[in-house]
Amino acid sequence: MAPTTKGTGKNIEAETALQAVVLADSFNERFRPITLDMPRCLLPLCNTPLLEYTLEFLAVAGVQEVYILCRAHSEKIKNYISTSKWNRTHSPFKIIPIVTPEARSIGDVLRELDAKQLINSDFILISGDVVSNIHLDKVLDAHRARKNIDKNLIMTMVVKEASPFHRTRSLGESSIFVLDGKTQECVHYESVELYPHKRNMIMDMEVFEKHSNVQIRNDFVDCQIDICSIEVLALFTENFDYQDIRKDFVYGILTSDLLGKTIYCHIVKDAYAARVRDLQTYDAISKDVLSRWTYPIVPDSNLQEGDSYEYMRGQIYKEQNVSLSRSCVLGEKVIIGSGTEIAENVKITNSVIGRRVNIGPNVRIDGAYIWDNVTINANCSISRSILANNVVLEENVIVNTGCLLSYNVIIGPKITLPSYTKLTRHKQNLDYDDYDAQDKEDKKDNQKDDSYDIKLIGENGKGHIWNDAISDAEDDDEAKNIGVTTLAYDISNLSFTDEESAASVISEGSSDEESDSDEPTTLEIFSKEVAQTVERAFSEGHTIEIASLELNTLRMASNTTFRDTRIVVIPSILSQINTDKLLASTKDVLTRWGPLIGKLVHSKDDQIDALFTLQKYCAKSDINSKIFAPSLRTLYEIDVIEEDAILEWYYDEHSKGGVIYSKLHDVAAPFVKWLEEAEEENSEDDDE
Amino acid sequence: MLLFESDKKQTKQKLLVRYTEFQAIVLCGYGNRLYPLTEDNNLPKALLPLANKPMLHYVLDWLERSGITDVIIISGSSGEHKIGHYIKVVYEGKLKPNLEVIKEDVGTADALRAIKDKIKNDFIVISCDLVLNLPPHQFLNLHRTRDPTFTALYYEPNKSEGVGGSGNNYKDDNSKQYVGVDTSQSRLIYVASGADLDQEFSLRMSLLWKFPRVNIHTTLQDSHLYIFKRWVIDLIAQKKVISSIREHLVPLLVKCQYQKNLLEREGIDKLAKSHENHQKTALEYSATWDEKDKEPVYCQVYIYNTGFCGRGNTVPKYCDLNRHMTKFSTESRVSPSAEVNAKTQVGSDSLVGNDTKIDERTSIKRTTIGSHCIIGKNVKISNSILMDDIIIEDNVKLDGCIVCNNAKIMEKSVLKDCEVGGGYVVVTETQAKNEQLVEFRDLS
Repeated sequence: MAPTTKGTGKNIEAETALQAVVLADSFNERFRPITLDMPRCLLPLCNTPLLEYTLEFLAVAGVQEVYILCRAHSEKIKNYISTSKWNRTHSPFKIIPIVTPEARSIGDVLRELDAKQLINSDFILISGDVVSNIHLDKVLDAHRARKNIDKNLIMTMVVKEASPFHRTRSLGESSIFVLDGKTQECVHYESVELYPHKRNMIMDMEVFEKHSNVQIRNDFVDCQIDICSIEVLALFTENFDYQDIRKDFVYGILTSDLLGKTIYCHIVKDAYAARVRDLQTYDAISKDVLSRWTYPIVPDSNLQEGDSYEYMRGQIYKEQNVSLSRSCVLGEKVIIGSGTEIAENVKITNSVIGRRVNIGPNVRIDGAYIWDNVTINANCSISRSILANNVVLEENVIVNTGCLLSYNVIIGPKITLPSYTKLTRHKQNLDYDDYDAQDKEDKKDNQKDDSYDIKLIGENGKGHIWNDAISDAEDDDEAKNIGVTTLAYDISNLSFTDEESAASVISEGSSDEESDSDEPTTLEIFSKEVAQTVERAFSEGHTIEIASLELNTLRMASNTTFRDTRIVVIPSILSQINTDKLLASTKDVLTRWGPLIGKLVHSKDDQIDALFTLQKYCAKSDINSKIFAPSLRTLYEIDVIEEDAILEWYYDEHSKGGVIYSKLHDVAAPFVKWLEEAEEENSEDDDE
Repeated sequence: MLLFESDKKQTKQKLLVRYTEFQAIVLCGYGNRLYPLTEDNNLPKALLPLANKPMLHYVLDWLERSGITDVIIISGSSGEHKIGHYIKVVYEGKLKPNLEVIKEDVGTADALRAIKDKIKNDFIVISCDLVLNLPPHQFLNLHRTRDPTFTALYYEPNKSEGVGGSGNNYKDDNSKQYVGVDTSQSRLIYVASGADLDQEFSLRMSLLWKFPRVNIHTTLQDSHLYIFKRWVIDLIAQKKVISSIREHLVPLLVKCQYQKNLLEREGIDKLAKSHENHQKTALEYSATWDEKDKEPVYCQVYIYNTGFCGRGNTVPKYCDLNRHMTKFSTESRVSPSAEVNAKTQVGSDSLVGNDTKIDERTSIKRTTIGSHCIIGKNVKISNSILMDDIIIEDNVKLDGCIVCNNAKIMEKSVLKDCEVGGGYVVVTETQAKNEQLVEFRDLS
């Protein structure tokens, strides 16, 4: 099928034909484990495959040739295209799939495209998961006009203006664009990911030599719709280390002094454009489509052949052949595909229900995405989760927020799935290399072993846990970014808290002012490590010398003070005390480990400070407060703390502050009195 | 009966006290960058002539038009006598400015700290070297509408103005300003000078999250005209480290807009709260209350690029300013009391002050000449500023020069781009270019 279309595509004499290149592979794992079975661009958004939205968008823009670059699941994409309306004679454009199984990044794909020499003029580069109603013809005109002025222009990036915390702006991967205030030439690009936390945006001062007014924008939704000249492909070939179109290509071009090429931004203000980057944006965009922000791309436009959606009051979309029971209640923003049957007493709000779904009685569904052929038996409850094709929920299953049930998973009966559970029929394979083979049908059969976790998914359950953290995401940060995006997938509840946490992260960033020394993170790490070191010393019975040597090394390595060390060490030592045999144990522990505190104390002020730390620890609970007097005494006896320090501490106002503090203060009173008397005796002795 | 009468008197007095919205504080600095014009034997900066009127005149005129009545002039001790004399004797406007004398050579914020007890209201700080065509109410009204912590005026320097007197190089002295503005709210969110930044330009992400649209301008100049809220003077009083308004105070306040910890650490949030007015408190309980209004620090900026604005704080800028003012001066080109020989040409772009005598065959172009000068025969003067009581003998050529009070230039001297200090005598047939001709000060 594919080779023949390719052949015809080559023969077309298309000097002026507008060409578009659709990237059908995202080269990341935000949608795992669902994407083990289905490419991202074929995932249904409001019951229509994502790719359909992109192709519709291109058709409206007047594109005449579309090259679809696919890698994983290429057969599925080819099949889909060959049966879709785009392959008919009345299709507005030729559609040509190109398979690049070797490619590991967008860069690889584009290099391969360059080698094929298919593109012959400016083209549209778009990813296969864009939902947009922008009038691209205007953007193209603007691009051409700009090109007449600036001969070095090689690319126009279409960006949508929004707020920095906009729902369609993925927190996991957003970016900062620096533009010339007048021409909107992009002069600097910086990607922003939530992890690792970014504190500063840095660019070269040279920017200001050429541009007197520079705009720094952190409010763009970058939906990766680019108008590129052919040179872009050549540049990818020349710079074979370019992988990502933004982080490598745009950044590389802008920072290169030699190339002298320019990239512009086209800012869209009043249209809709968003890209399904992760589950969070999947959720947001689905809701946007249902609330008709994307008009005319809405379900009742019936994009696909055979669609028969009708728009009803309350943003409800219903296809023909839906059977609703008399007592079921549909709330706002619900879409239901044909062949679906809904039993009595079902309540559905804010949800997408696919085709041929069977929903039993007394089911509650809120904010969920239920794809085709799902069976939900009686008394289930689902909130803010995705159920892929052919999922079966047996009776009395509760699916909590943020769950992701991939194809063919079976749950139940009588199971409550905890939040953020991801289940798939594939066994998570730690060996990364053979995942290319995972779309082979036969492999699924091999995996039908009995190793399902019955407790988690129920007696009849079928499915394995998918864990992002141990998936082969390149590093921790990437895993964390994925975590954020799935987490935020819950819109009302969770995306809110997530936004808050994001905001607090940001304010945390501002916490360290000019002085870099008091970075909270290093101190936290340090404290943790000190605690571990002390713990190890206890369990392995290190000598004081070794323990103090270790602590000192740690202290120097992280450039912290003795005080920081003491704050951790003193409570750890005290926590070793056995509260049952208070007096004896205190004495034992402190005679053994007290000298370690001594190693961290160098002056009278240090001793006083150590006393405050001791007091603080003891003030925490009643049991702790009992060890105060004995430890004070023991520390004095082993000469870690001298009497001057105790007296000074005792008469310090701060030692009396607060109820518990003053209680401890009183506890120390007899001891102090004894000390004072001893001193007096001493001085009397001296007098004599 | 008697009691009642005295009561009546008091109420009458109270009525006479006018409500003052703003106090104005005019900073008359020493003018270090105007050496040698501001040496003791010439004039303090505030009194340097622009189109034969002291700079201070223009500032006071602007304030008068703004409707402000409470004006304090701060000067260092060196200018006390001359400025005091000017205010009392020469100044003809309606304002009754008070002169406060402080220590010499202190920062602008230090100067405010020295007179903090005199500041009772929100206050305007203006430098004596500012010339501004902007109608005052436009600036004040912007401040009134939002009631921010401060409003600053930034201007785009006019490039059309000709080349300065002695080397127009005020762009390279690291004075390039990086000014970040959120245009939608006309909010000042970033300030840095070229000297502070090295190779890299960096912005905090916390700023970008709070203000996603930042416009960084490099062409704008600080006019050193501010309106501050009253509590800012308390901040200045508390923090001795704040010595300059432009270098310390403004950057601190600007940072406080997006660095919460800084705000709290410096206790600025409390200060700002302590002076909230009734309207704000009332607003807080209203339904239209916007979260944004809660921000304790709000730095506003007025960008003035539609008219003339300039500062005379360096010699070349002073020349530019004078040239501009001379060009647009409404005074008669040659004072009626001046005696100009019929065979002498005075260009229409020049000014000749009172009682100045100019002999025959002399040409004067683009030049401002003060009062009581005596200019000889066959003298050529162009692009220059001559202050008062100057004697210029025959056959002298001056181009791009500034000649201070009481100087004397003797026969056949040719000077280009020079500054001649007060009372200095340029001997016969001196040839000089790009020099500062000043008497050596006795250091004792």
